[in-house]
Amino acid sequence: MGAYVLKRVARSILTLIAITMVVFVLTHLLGNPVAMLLPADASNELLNYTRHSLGLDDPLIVQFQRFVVDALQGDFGPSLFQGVSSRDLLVRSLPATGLLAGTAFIFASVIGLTLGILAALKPRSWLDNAVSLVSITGVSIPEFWLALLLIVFVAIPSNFLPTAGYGTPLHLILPAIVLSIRPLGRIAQIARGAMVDELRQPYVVTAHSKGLPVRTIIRRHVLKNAGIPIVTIAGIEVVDLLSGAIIVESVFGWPGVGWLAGNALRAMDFPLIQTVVVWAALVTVTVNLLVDLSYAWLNPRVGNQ
Amino acid sequence: MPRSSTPIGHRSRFARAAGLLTSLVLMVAACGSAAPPEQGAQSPGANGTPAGALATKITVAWAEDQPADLDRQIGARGSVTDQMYVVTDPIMKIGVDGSLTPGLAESWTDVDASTLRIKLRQDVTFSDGAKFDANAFKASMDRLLSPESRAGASSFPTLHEVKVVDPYTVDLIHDPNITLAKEVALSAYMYSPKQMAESPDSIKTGPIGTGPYVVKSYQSGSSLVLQARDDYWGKDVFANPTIKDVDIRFGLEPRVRLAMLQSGEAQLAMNISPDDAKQLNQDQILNLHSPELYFIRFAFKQPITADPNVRHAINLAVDRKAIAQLFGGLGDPASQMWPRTASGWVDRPVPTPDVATAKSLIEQAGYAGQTIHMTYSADYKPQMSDVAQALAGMIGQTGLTVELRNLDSATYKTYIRDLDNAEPLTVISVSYDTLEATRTLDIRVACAGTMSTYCNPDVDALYQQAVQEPDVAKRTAILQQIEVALEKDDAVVPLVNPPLLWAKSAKLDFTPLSFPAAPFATMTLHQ
Repeated sequence: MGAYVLKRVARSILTLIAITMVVFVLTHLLGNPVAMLLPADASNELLNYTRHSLGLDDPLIVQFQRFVVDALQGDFGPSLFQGVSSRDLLVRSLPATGLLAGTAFIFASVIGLTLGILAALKPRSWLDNAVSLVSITGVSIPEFWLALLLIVFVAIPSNFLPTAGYGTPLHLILPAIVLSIRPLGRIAQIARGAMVDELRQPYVVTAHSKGLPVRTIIRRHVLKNAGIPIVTIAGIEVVDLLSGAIIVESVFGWPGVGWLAGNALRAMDFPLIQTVVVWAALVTVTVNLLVDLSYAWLNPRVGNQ
Repeated sequence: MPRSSTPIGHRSRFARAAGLLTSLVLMVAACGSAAPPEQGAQSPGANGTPAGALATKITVAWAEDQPADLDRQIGARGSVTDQMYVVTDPIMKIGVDGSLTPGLAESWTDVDASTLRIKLRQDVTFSDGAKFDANAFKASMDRLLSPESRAGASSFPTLHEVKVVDPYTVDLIHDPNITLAKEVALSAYMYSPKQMAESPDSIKTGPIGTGPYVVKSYQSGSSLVLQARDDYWGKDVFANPTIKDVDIRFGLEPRVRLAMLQSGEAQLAMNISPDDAKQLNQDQILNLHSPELYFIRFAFKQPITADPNVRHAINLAVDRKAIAQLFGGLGDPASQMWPRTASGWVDRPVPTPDVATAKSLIEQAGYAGQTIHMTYSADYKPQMSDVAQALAGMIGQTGLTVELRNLDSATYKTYIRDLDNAEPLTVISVSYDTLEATRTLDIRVACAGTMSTYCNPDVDALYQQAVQEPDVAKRTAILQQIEVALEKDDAVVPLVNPPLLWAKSAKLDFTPLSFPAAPFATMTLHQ
């Protein structure tokens, strides 16, 4: 088990390093950020001065060395556009993303799991059909369209739900609903499928014939055995949510990581783009690691292999 | 586990569930008042005042652009940072007709061709108590002219130095530039010398000026809250604001800005598209007639557009009135390189298209059936994509085939300066913030212009005369000569002056002043 954990951690670190290097190269292929910082009619002298002051006229290898030194300190330099530490900008946006992602995930996982279990208990019933409909709709519906739909048909007529912004619990409702729909659909789908497979197993029949209540069978036996695919999909959704929902945060003016990423891309703000992408990579690698480790708990045979 | 019941039972139960779900959705949508709320209406007391009184708080839904920070002396321009005029006061004010009136300056005069003397008001204080005088003016201008400033170099290209003559008089030493006073009016942001000396970094999040408002809070790229000063020195001179709190939200999608206005969350929404404007009442739309122009730039190094027949044909093929319709009928078709309110305007009608002549010119030039490339940027300016598509169709009627190339903003801003590799046709915009034509001629049509592919030494000579001519009537005459020369050479194809649309609540009284200031201090919001 210890070797399993160590191997997973080492692989995660190497993955993160590789991603960081790739991000540096790809970012510098995006174009000329100085053009975005200055007006279109800026003089050549100002363009060259700005390029020099930002170190963008240094050879790529020099920029890369600087990048590595900064990265080892957990910072990728000041934002070209805002002039403040990119790391600080990311840290400032994390609470907003955490709040939105956490709310959406809790809502999606509780509802999704519940629907999945209920559907699995009554396969091919009207409930099963309804859950399938909800799942497919949730997975298929474009977030941008749903966000605007809710703004136009719910926020505006309701006169109490804000259309955009951040700061009060009311501001959280609509973006959290939009963000939770897809994970809800996916979790419900996967949970239903995994549960149906487990409910067919001989041990469930045995448990039932022993007189155990359905609730106990589900809670103590079936759920844990069906847990691996559910935890896997939940992990994928957590990664998506914590990496920043660019579309939802942009539409609702929610100042989280996704909104920061969108601004960074529009402004070609290299250090900020690198920071956000590495954050996304860190979230992905960490969550995958936790999911891998959870396999060992859910199925001890995995940890012992 | 027991199987579910019969198929007929399924459908019945499913239909009931679907009906229940639909009813629930309809109930939520119908929550609140039965009719849509009056656009921009406030619920009683929503702004902290009794119904019937003037409201003291306004929320502004700004455009998508994100300010780097609020330091307008060091950072480049952006529409939000332009609103720092409510935190600072302008040195002079630019009226909608381009005329200058006193601001923090009482008077100004050209001592000679290279010295502009400004006499400053003597009763002005910054919001931190520091006095506004010649030294404070010089300190701000020195910061604007420092090498670190991205704003100063582009705002004051000809200004070298500021000298203090006496406690309330300064001299601006400059290269010949007749528009310097307007540049000062537009871009000379005055910050407290105390703040600049003691905590210059704090300017990024809260510059201290002489204006009627102070920055209460700033969330980078998200919101800016302004609060009216009780001790504003200019209450009897400039404005005594009834609106005490201004909450500016930026980075919002266009549809969301409109939604905020329609729901009453915002009382002013910036940069509304012409399509969105159709959803509002006419009296809610403000067309600020931005001093911007879209035009086609020809690449004179490309054989096809070096041919005067081809250029003239393209000029004849373009239907400017149809282009203006792309802006919801709110654009002004352009007949020349600068807007009607700019100096140098030549009173002539908008050219009517003549496709037959255009076609014959293309055939004569031997380019019938040939492909010509046009570059634009859909995300650089509004409606650019529609304009480019329309132009492709119009020019296509001449026998040429237009191949469009769309670049992202950053690549486009680099491309338009790469004169050696300019495509035959490029859709470009130019802004006349100071309503002075000379302000942009050197860049866009002069031989050495950084974005100019056109070169006519006679035009250059006229330009040099214009920038040194202090007499307005004479300068106008020279600029008109330039415009006639540009037309004769088919140097560019002026297309349209796009509208700058804002939308306001029906309860907001607001008279637009000069571009770009938003005078919250003179707005009135009724309950």
